[in-house]
Amino acid sequence: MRGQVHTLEAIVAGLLLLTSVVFALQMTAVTPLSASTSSQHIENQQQASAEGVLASAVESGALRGAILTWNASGNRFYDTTNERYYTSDVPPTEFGRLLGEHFGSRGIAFNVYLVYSTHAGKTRRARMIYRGAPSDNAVATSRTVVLTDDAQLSDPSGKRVGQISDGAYLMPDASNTTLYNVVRVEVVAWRI
Amino acid sequence: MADLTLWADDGRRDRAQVILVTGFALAVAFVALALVVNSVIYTENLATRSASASASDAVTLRQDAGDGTARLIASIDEHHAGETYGDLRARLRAGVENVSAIVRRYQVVDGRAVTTSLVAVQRGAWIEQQSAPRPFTNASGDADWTPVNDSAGAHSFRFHVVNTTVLGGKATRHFAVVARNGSKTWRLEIYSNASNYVGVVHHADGSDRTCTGALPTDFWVNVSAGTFAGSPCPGLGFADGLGGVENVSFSNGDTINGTYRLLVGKADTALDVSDFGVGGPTNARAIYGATVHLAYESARFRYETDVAAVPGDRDA
Repeated sequence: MRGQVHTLEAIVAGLLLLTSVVFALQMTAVTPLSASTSSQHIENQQQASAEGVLASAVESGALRGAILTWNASGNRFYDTTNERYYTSDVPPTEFGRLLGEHFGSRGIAFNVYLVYSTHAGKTRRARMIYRGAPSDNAVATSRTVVLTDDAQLSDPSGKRVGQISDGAYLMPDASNTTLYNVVRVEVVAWRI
Repeated sequence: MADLTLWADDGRRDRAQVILVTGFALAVAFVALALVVNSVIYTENLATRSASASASDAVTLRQDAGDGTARLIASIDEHHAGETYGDLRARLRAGVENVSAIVRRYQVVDGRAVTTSLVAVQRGAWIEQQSAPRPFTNASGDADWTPVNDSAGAHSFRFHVVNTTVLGGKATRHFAVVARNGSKTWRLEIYSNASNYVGVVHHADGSDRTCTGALPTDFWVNVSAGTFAGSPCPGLGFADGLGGVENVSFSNGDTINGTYRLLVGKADTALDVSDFGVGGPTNARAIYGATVHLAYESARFRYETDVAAVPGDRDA
């Protein structure tokens, strides 16, 4: 009887020890510096990267160019098919090339949204590039671009194809002044 | 639990109890360790989080507000030049208020309040030869003249050379535009040689840059945008490296023929009226630049600043 009790105690002690070790290991599994898709460092880097890409696109005018590269007759972005936005390919513009070079080769997925205002003063969000629902650890950054009534639409080669106007563009003229609309370009990036 | 004192006489009997107690002690130690490690992780997590996010947002908005206002000014200058300064100002104010209202709606979703308002408008004027091609001389036909003196600046300079047969050669008299800021000068010379049109830019730092275009019948030079005969020419940029433009002068204006447009930072009434008029270049009221006030407020951050906006302010 005593031997059995001792054996049982030893087993319980062993189990306790084992579960303690398992518990402790669980707690130390992920740190902010561990390599994982949710690493805080990776998020910071992606945030800075996305801000950098957007800033350089604003400086060079590539961002404005990409917004205005619109196929008015097809009522969608150039080189898109059933959807009006880009899915697997990047836009055939300088901005698209920048994004592709920056994120595409590093296993980072990204969405680009265009937030604009309607006649009635409502806010709408349209997709420009959509590669799926972002993960919980996605980062977002945005820039604001002002479009005036005399903005010119262009094709991917940069050739002007006509003036921006209601009905012939993604967004309506939200103002009766010189202003056409204000676009907030949001880039959302996450590690696949 | 077994009684330790009862079996103390037998060394083998208490072994399991010692193991059990050690097991408990180890368990407590591991739990404590886990807590310590966890708090370190949390601290690390907090420390590596970007604390400057709200500040960088404000700075980005500041830049976007400047760019947006400059875009509005450029559009108003293109389509409403010549209206009274009061009307131009009212147009810009309406535009800025519209932008402000829309941006406020976008930002409020993120818990930020943003307001922009027009503070000041800097009067300017287009100096232009737009109606018909003509030599780049003043109204009385002087080939060497100064379109603007003591200006707050100049931007959006472009010209279209229509009659290319009058262009001078490299060694002979040819057209030149000179922009000055204090003792620093920027000079663009236009001439043609056997096979090309040539534009040579002499920068303030002594460096030169040559742009060429093949000989068609006419060609555009957008000096501010840096394009020569339709192609980008790096280094052409109007008044690059001067840090501002005080005066702009034309020399040998009779050796070029076409149209041009230049926006200067001086009210039309302050220009030398004898240079302009019927049959010569004209001037038209426009907005040179403006200052907008930006107020940005988030839960833990408040930022207010005045932003100067001048279209093409990277010209000089």
